[in-house]
Amino acid sequence: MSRLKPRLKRGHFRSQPMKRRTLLRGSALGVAIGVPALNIMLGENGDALAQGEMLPKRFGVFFWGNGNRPDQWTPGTTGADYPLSPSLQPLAPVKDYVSVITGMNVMTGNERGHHAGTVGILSGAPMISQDPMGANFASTFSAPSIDQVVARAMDAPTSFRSLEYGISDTAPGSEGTTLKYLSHNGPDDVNPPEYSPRALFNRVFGAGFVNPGETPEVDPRLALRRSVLDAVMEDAADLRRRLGTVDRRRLDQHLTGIRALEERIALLETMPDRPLLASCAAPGTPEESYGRDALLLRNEVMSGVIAMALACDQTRVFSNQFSGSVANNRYPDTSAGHHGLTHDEGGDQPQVQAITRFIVDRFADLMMALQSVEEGDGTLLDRCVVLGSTDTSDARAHSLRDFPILIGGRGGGALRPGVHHRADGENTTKALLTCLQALGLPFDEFGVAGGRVTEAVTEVMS
Amino acid sequence: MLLVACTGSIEDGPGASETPPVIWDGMPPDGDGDNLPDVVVPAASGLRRLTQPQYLRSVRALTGIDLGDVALEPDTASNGFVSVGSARTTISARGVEQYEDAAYAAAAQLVADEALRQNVAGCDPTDAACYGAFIRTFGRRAWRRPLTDAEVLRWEAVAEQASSTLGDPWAGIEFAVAGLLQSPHFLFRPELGSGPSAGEHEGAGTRYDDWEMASRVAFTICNQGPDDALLDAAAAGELTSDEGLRAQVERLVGSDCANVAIRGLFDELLDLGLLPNKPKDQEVYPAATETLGGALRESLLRTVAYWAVDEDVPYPEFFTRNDAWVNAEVAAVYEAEFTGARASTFERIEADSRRGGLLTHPAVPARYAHPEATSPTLRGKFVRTNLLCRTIPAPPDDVGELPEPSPGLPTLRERLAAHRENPACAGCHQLMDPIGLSLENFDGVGMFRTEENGAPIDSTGELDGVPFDDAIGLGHAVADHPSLMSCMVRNAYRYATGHIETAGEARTILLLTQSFEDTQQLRQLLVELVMSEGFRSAGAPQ
Repeated sequence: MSRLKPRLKRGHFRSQPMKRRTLLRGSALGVAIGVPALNIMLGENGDALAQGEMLPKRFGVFFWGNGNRPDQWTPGTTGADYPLSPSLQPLAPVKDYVSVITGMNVMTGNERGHHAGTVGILSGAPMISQDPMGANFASTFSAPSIDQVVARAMDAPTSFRSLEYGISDTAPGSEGTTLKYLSHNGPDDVNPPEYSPRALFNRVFGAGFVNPGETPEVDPRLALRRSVLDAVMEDAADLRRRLGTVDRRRLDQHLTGIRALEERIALLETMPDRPLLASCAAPGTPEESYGRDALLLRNEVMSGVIAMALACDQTRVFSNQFSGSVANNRYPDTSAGHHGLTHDEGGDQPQVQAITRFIVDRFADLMMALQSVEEGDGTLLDRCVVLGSTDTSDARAHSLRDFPILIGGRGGGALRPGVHHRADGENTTKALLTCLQALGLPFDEFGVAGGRVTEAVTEVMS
Repeated sequence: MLLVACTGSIEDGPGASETPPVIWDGMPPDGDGDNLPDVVVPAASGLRRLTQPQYLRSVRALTGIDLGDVALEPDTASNGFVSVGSARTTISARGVEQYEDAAYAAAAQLVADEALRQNVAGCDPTDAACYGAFIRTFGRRAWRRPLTDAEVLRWEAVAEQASSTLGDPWAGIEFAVAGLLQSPHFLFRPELGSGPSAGEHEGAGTRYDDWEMASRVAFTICNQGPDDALLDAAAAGELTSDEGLRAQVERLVGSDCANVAIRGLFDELLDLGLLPNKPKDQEVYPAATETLGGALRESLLRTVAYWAVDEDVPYPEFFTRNDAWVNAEVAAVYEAEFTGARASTFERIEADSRRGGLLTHPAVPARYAHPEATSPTLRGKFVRTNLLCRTIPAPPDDVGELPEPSPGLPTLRERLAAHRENPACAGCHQLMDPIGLSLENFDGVGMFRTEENGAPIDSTGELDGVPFDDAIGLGHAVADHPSLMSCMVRNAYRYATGHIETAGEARTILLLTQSFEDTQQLRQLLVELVMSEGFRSAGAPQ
């Protein structure tokens, strides 16, 4: 059933990165083997992967804007058998797969509401203010966001180093990169999210995607596209020599994208055997549009696409900007936009609370989508680490104290899910370090300045 | 008044990009005597990524193909301007894929059209010399400079490989086009100050050379790459001379490009890009269809372009004039009679006397509002920050709450007054609310109203000590405001140069302000801006 030799046509591997990719095959790469795993590494029935150890770990971020109501969020007790709080009720079906961390503070400074918290929780580093007087304020990240830290460290030979998507696109567009984008490679250097489920689907499962076991014909245009990209890279090398340091970094990032595309094209040409990823099957094509307000539906469809992108090992890292910081979109049965309500609604803010619950419910939907894919002797969620958080705690006060943090998945056994851990006054970056270590990545510290930590949250690890 | 030059607080993270120092907050010093610096110290030069409109317009000019709403790397506005963001951001991995798709789409459509491909290629691809000649001509247009021999050979090889692999000489043209459009020489604008030294003083920098000037002028005025006339002028060395440069920029400002420049500038200045997708509660605002936001944006842009280009209206009068270009949907917001042939036709109307000027065009109150309510605070912040270049401090950590409407607090005026009783809030809100409250007669989609929650609206307001009764009075106060002209100069400069003006450029800003106060005409401002020393000189590459 499985071939003994891969059909690698080495003549087609023209660029160094592809050679490196082939070398990584089957070699120990942190926690995960080089994948696509070769059939030769599978058992007779392809069940070697089913043993669990060889399946890769995956990482995701679920981010929403405008915080929570801490009084409604924090569960009454800690440990494994804690009661779900009003905000966390929607986690009931996946409670055993999610740990809740409360009480931590973002310690990278609170220079500017929403901006500081977004950068602090996602990167463990202070924000960069871009604040000339007499013009609108802007800011950006000073360090990569956690999803890109993971993607770089994993360096997985997947089709996409990471995939970014979003659900509500109403974050302010004119205040720099911080509010508009979750995923940052560095200052002013972003990975914009895909807001259309159809576009995300097409990117991953469109032209060129090969279901396991299929062997389509190789299009001669693929080699031409690679030649074009080679010439483009030569152009870039000429240009690079004339640039200053900031622009070199910008151009280098552009080149990184070109190389990634070239590698993907090469992969299509060589058609190396895909592993028998038992659970991989291209999902159905999403609708062209779901309408502006269909947040629930769009999130559900996106969750399905991303789960299959992971199952097919198209990527191992994703992020969902469910809603951006300061996003002011409407939610069902509320009288105003989300951000507006956080500042204007009085009392205990029942509408803000209802929105928070709605968003937690969408996080639960993502968990269930990952859980619905069987993989090895468990589910995809068993192999995942998913960080859920937001840009502030109490948004009315732009508070960075008692931050809401969710960690979903079992991390291939590294996590101890299903607990509530109270960590009063501790640094939120510990949650990031926890994710890195649960993924088996070689980090014993993380963060910058006030965000730097050297310890993970052992209470949520096994 | 002193020239303030301080550097904002910068966290020095890894690879922190430097924030330029500021010039002044709000009102400029007099540009006379001691306050006028002797020299210009230009800002850093560098790479600017083509914005989405620049990419699409350039591709259309080069290939004749309109890519419509193809997905591209999104633009990021920084400090209010996409042009500023385009000088800071780069192209993501996803963007590389999108630009590849777009380039092949344009190239494939081009070679599928026999008349068009003949016209664009200008030679027969079965001729041995055709690829090289085409790459030289098309390349000069696309990359906005002549290609080196090595570059021509590089792309000729690609064309020949495509032709032989696919057995179709036109495939050579197709892949050359698709390739040249994916090159960083096309996707970015390398404007690095490749000309001679710009002066003797410290930090004088260098001049942009002819080719770089061709690009700067073309993108500033036409929002796309230079046309052949501009490239020929560059080849003849005319764009580094005063007369040659003035001739070219006056030519463009006298062409259709002037509309493009004015529309682009106001689209950014008023931050209207959000309007088409801005959530609006249709239960509160029945007029808020899915198309209204886009129609309002288009209506306002047509109106300001008409004022600036067709009528040469002095800029202060933008805040008092009462005419507008509207389609049926926008006319309904104005409660004006519409006689256009089709609902989508735009026609010019004279608004009734309840409105006056740009700030009462419904696009502005609709843009600066919440989905279900108005926002005097956002509107006041817009006037003060975007139109007058004043800084509003960041809100405090605990921003408090806005009381619910109640019999004692029926309108936003009373509710905001209650909010300002908190001294931590009053300081900033005092800078914004008295401006915005005068626009309370305009609801969240810009329709006129006289009541809120059954109580009459009090539309009195105040701007820097000048009181007024309503939005019309606000318009006059803005028109007469001492910062209005210098702020437009600064915003136009940001739009054109892709950076926030620096202290070293104060001389240019002050001279342009003097000139603009004199002429008051936006097209003339664009000409003088291009002619200015700041626009033509480059600091070291960033």
